[in-house]
Amino acid sequence: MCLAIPARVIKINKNIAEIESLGVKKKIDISLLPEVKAGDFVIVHAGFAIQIIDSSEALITEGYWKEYFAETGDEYEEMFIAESPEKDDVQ
Amino acid sequence: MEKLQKTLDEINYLAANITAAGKCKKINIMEVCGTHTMSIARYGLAQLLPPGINLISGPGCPVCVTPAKEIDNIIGIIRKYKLTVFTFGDMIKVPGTFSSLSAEKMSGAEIKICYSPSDSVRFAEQNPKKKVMFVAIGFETTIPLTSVVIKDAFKKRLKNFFVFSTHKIIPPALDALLSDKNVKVNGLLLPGHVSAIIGLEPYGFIASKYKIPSVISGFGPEDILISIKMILEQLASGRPGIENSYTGVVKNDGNPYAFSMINEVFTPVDSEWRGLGNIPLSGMELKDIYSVFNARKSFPVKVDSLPEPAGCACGEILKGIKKPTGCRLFAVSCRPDNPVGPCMVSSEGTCAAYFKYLRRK
Amino acid sequence: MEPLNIKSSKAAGHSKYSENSSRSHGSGISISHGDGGFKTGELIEKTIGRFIKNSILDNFEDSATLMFGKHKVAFTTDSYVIDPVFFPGGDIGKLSICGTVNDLATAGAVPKYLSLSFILEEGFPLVSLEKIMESVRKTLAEAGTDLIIVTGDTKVVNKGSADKIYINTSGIGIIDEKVCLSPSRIASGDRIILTGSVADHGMAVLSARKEFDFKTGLKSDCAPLNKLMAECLLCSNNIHAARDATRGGIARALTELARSSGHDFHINENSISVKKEARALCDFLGMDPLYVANEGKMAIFVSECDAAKVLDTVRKNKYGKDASIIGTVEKKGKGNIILETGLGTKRILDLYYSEQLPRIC
Repeated sequence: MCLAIPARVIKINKNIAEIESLGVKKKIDISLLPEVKAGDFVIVHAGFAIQIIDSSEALITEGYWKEYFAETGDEYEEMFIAESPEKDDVQ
Repeated sequence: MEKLQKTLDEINYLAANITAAGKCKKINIMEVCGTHTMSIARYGLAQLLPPGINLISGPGCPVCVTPAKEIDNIIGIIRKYKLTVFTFGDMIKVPGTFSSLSAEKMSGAEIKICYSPSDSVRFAEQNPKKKVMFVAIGFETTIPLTSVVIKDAFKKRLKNFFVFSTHKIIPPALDALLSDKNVKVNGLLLPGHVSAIIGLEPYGFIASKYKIPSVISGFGPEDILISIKMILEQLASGRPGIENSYTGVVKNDGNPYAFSMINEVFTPVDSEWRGLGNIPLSGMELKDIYSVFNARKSFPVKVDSLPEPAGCACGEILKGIKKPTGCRLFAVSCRPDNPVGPCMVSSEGTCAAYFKYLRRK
Repeated sequence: MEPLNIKSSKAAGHSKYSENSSRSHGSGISISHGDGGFKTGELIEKTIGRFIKNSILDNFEDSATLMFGKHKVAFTTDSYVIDPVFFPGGDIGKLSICGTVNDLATAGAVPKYLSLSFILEEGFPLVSLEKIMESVRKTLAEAGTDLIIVTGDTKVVNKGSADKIYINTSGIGIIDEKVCLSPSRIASGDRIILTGSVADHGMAVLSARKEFDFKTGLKSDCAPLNKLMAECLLCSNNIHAARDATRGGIARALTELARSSGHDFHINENSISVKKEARALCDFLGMDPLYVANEGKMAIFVSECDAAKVLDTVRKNKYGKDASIIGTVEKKGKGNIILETGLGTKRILDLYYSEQLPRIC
């Protein structure tokens, strides 16, 4: 069990952090990691960060999840400036 | 692939020496984490290992070890009381003895799949006239999340939020498993994310009491193969211990704060595990201070369960005694579209993984 | 059709709970009957198909190929129900044109005439309907100036009896006498070209759902592929078959063709591309990208001798830039898909037996 994926913490507002994984952003709960800060990589399980990742570990950054730790650069910023989806009036 | 080949060469060398030295004929390595089951099956890792190594899938899937009667209880509550129920997608199709949450949903029950327990408490806050029940399932990776959500409900004095806890913890189940004479395990792959919470210390008995090597492992193919190599090294040296190959995520003391959250909100109780029977102090129930949120207390119900289907070998499969192909229902009357036991229902159950990834026609 | 529907449909209309009697967990239509997996096939064959058997239907293709004197005509129909109605990269209007145009294209037909029918829920905003019609107009124009809608229908139902808007489109296309695309023409040695990345549509739609609250640039790949197909047919006479990968993912498309053709396929997993965002979303929710819906991707079967040329042609089209050869047709066998992983191990790619649900374990 324990489906969890790596994510980078972008910004924090009290116990909610906005994280980003491969260009996907989401707000998650960081109550379980009081010491986490923006820029940290965390493991996210069911909407919560459960541990800070030590990204000096080769098995993490060069293994199965290496895509998640590749340099992100400006490409993700551009992605969010791009046109957002049309609002569905009925939703 | 080169690094992998180097690890494979080392595995081959170690395995050959261990079996030649007569330490054991076959080296049985068990994993107890559904995500490991899936990874091993998805990457066909068993095909890369020498024939002397046998990979066994143990009770690592919280859905698979939930007894059918527990599902019956949940359904009994849903049928008797008008509730909005939240649970994880994993639970929706698990068969009880007479129905499943998916069938109840088809019949009109308000059952919602959530990605996070936070979704359920948020819904309760936004809909004060509705009674909301969160069916909480999972091991130590997930229990702290339910703790946070219950504490949040407590702080907000929510009157319409309830939790049905089917949470279970791993170490007592491992103890029960290893003490079973029918279960022959030479090494254990330990769950990476459970360990991220609890650290290494709770596993100490595996080496001290049972003298069995164990390694905490990540989920990629390299992680699993390196962990298998480390198990073999322990076997070869005759010095079993608890090692950690997932050091990027698992610290020696885990996440003490999250671990403390488990103990703050929950208390261990005896719990029934499908296939393993009753295991003392292996389930987690809400402490008295939070009993106002306890769905079992607020929604008492009496349910008459039907007898469980004959021939279902989930119990033995969960102990690693049988492989899915050893169950006479497998792929015949028990298939992902019509599962009999939870090992087939859960997408990471041993039988589901086997059916999806390993079947040879 | 979007395979994942985790909300209780307003149209369910059930208000009573089921009797505690059936172990088969209900004998009505379940949501998994619509997921494009095994259950869908079973429904079509056992409940629908057996009343209307004929040799054309037995071919079980997305489009029926009909003869009118010397003229070969393709005829197809499809219904569109999607939530949300407006999603990143498109809406139900665009989808309803692309889906039917693509079914005609995979038969090698030039789309000529479409029908357009609506079932509208009372209260659906006119402004939304106009936006949808604008999408319909734009997509028609892109697909071809001589493609027109020639007939249609509109029905309105009471609030709660439908989920906002349902669309059905049927289409007629002309097949050149020299063109014959059919699974029966698939031959050993054929190369399988996939026109681009998988899982874009399904994951883009899921990410737009409020309950998940994801922010991503991932857009649906919804696109009309008739011109791409026409360009391929112009450059090679050795294209044997094509199938668009919609619900059930590329896994379903390949499985259906393998079974219809009676050939085994060998697929290279590493050659199937998945966009980063799609991968992350699949990882978040525990889904397998090979089974996630697409709306602008095709698998094209072509003789080895023309494979490079056709691949080049596909890549020159804006909807085929990321195309790759993903596998080879083997000799006649059981119609299995043998997937080779990046590690060189093999597993069977099976038709997903159940709707994929978001999971935590």
